[in-house]
Amino acid sequence: MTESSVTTTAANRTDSDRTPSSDETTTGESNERTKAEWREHSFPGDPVLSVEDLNVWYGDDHALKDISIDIPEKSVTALIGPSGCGKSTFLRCLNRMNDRIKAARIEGDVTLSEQNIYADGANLVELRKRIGMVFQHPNPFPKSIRENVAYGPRKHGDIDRGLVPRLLGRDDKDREDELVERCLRDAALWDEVEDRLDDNALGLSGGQQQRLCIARCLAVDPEIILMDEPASALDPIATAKIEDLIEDLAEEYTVVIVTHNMQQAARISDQTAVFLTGGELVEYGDTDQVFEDPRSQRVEDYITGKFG
Amino acid sequence: MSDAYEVRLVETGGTVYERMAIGVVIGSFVIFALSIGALFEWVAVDGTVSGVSTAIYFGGALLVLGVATGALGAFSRWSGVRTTPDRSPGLSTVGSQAILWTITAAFVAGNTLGLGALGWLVAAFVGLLVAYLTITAREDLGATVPAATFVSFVGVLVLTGVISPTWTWQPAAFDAIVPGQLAIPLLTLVGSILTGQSSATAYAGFGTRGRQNGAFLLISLVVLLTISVLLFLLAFVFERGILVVLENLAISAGTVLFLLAAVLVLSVRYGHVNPATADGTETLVSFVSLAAASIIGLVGVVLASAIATKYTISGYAVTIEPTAVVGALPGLVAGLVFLDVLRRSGGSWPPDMKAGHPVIRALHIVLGVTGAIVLVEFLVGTTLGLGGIGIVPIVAIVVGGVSVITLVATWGARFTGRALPSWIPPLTWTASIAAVTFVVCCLHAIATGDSVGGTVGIAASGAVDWPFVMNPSQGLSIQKGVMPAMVGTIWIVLGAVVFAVPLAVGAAVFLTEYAEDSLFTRAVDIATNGLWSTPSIVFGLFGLAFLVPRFGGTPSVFASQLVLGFMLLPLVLITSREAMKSVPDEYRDASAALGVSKWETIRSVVVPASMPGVITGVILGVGRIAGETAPLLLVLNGPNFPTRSPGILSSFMVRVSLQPPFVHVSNPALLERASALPYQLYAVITAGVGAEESFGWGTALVLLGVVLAFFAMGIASRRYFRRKLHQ
Repeated sequence: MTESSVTTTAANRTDSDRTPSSDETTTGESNERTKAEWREHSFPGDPVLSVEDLNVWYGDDHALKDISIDIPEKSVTALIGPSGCGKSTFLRCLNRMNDRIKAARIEGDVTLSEQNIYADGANLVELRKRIGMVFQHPNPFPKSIRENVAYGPRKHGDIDRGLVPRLLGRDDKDREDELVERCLRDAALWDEVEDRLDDNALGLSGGQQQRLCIARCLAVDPEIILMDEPASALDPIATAKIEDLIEDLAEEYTVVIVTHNMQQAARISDQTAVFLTGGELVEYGDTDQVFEDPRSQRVEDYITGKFG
Repeated sequence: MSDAYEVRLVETGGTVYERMAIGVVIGSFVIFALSIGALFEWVAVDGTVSGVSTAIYFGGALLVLGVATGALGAFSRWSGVRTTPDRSPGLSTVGSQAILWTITAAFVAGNTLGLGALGWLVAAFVGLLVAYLTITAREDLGATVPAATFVSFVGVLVLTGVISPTWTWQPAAFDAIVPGQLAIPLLTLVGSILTGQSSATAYAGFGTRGRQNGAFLLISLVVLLTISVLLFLLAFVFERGILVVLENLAISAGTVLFLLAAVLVLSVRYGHVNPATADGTETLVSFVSLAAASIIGLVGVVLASAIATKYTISGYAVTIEPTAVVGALPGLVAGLVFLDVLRRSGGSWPPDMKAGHPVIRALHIVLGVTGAIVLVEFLVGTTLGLGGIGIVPIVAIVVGGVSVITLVATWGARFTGRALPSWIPPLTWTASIAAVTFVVCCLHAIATGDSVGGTVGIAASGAVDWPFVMNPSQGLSIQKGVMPAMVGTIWIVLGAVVFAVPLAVGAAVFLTEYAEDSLFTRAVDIATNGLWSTPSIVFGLFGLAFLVPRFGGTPSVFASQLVLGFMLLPLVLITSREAMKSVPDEYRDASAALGVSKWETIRSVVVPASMPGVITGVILGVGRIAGETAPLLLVLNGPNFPTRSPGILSSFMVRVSLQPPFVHVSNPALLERASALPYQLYAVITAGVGAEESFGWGTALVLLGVVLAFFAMGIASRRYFRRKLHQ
């Protein structure tokens, strides 16, 4: 049904008045149907983050439409879809990074341990400490590797360094060393940078920089790590390392990853959510099921490369 | 089939044509440099070399270069040299040749032939003719022959003495006299640029590659010209001012030795590279610094022997006294250099001395206490001691003793091959402690005015006697000195920087990080740019009318600091804002995603990343305000030749009372009139006493030195921040 609607759209390109509306109704139906289906689906583990009727507008552009999704604990959830489908926007809603975009308007509930993070009086500092984020392009600060990793804890006052603490005799150098080593080990970077912790992070290779960003994110001890196409700017070897790392991280953390690369999603994720053009969540379920037996025809077309 | 396949991809070079072309390029460079020298009167055009007038050499060189350049074009056209010329030399070449020839023809027709208005007709005809011939010729002829003909023509004129150093040109149209002494270098300059560009184009076989080559040469010549103008300016001031500045300078040999030792240590440090891995630049730096080191070593030996034999070295009104005392201030500078080098090259704490060596520990504690005592001495101004004996000298003796014992023991153990006694600390650590002690002793001498040691030691005064820099001037023709003015300039610049930089950086943070891009921010941007280009005398007038009545009623150091601060503000704001804009948003996102607040992000990511840009603004601005005279005439307006320096530090007064605001801080010196270097320079030059011109040059040289010192500090701190960001 969806396929026929797509072909109709293509055939009636000149008839621009009616086609979008018909398209909207059909996709809306399929959205309702699949949503009901994945609601029945049960995942292993408890949902740590649940999203209810999330809508996002950029100015007049309705970027995300009625997204509802539960993200289970200690697993990898992949968000896939064509460019511009809103998967990055969705990811940035989960730790309220979209607040930084002036034109964005967000409605809906995102619940983390039974609290709505969009409620009035939400503590953004605590929220972002609990939900960390890794970006598409490696973005270490122009500081030493040590300072990069310790940046979050230092700024939150968990670690006290500098002249005044030293004079007062409560310099946390040992604790910091310990933390830096633990995070770099968790990010599988320790062996490569062990002897140059005080060198500038910008001297590392792209893949190393991205793992450093992951280490920096781990240092504030998050529960959930959001990753926005973390490997898209890297070469295949660095990508493989990041993928291994993500699978390891999922033992302790909940990882939500946006990716363009469907093979990557199939390789590393436990659940997959498929967003399609127009900002709709079309399908959500176990990765194997989504890739092998998608419920929606549009998703199948997208996954098999016929569309998107 | 085009002939493209006949052009070889790889040219191995070395044909006669190429050698000739490169010869002309080099010749043009040499003649270019000589003509700059002649313009600045380093090369005398009216002098003679082996009996022949210098002008003749210039003429001959131009003729040779011109003929050779023409020959290159002709070879390329007719002798079958492999070149790739275009079919026409292009509009820019045609235009420049036509203009050149039009001017030449106008000059010859109007001046030599005396044709009057008819001359313009001739000039236009010649210009059009040259343009036509050039545009129809193939590139190899068009790009060389017109230029070559012009240069040869000028060469012949100079060679035959038509244009000689004594010749003058007095155009009827305007009141200027161009003497041959100026005309010959100028024509040579133009000629060498023309032949240089043409031959460089010819060297690469014309066409795209050729033009690229020619443009490259043109740019390098222009850069050379710019640099030489700068160097000439510096050298000119230096040459006129240096003898006045150094007049009657007397300095103890010990001080000179210490300063030389600091330079020696630095040169050895920079010259110490591994020859196996060093690249070209490093090898060159190494060579230069080691050469400097050996020269300094030799001078050091001479000075040491002068001290030993009590021989006074003097020359150029400078005297080096054969005493071994070290001046406190130069000693402080040298001591800091030693400390820095020791810190960089010193080894880490040996692993077998885990808890810290007891001797070193004890010395650390003693030095810490002594440092605190010296700090107190700075506040009190007198020596602190026990029963009439100062504490600092005792510490110096103890540390000196330990150092000597360590040195003897370590070297003894090294020579005899025995094991070092376990209580002897490592040599590098003792050396660091000795250097720290030396610095502390220098500070003590500066703070209290008491010398440390006797004939060998640190002298608080008398080791350096530099009348021009250390004395006030007693008016014209009595004594020359710039001390009060120099101190005034330094205080005013420091005050302006302290006032303006935090404000400017704060405003930049607000505009870049907090304010949205709006009409308001754009208006602020325009206003800032306008403020930066406001004439300085307007700032001065504002200060006189608005600030002076509010701060003490007389022109003062404080008002000057504020006025110059206002002038500095816009530039620092502009550069800081640009620097903050160029900090990638990714850093801000990364910081926000870690839950760090906006203000913390600005403080620890944005501002550090934009520090080099901020400092660039300060460097540029300080260069301008340090030399500013006009506003100071209005808001500083002290005596032309003040007898004492503004004692800003010593005149802070703190009064405590029971009424609010309880603590009164005042500083009368800050609210007094004073002098500044550009202000005094202006006074000296406009005094109208011819003999005092040298005083002015000396003042100018000191001003230049002060500005360059600020400049050097700025560059050093910018380098520090850049390294922190990128290494």
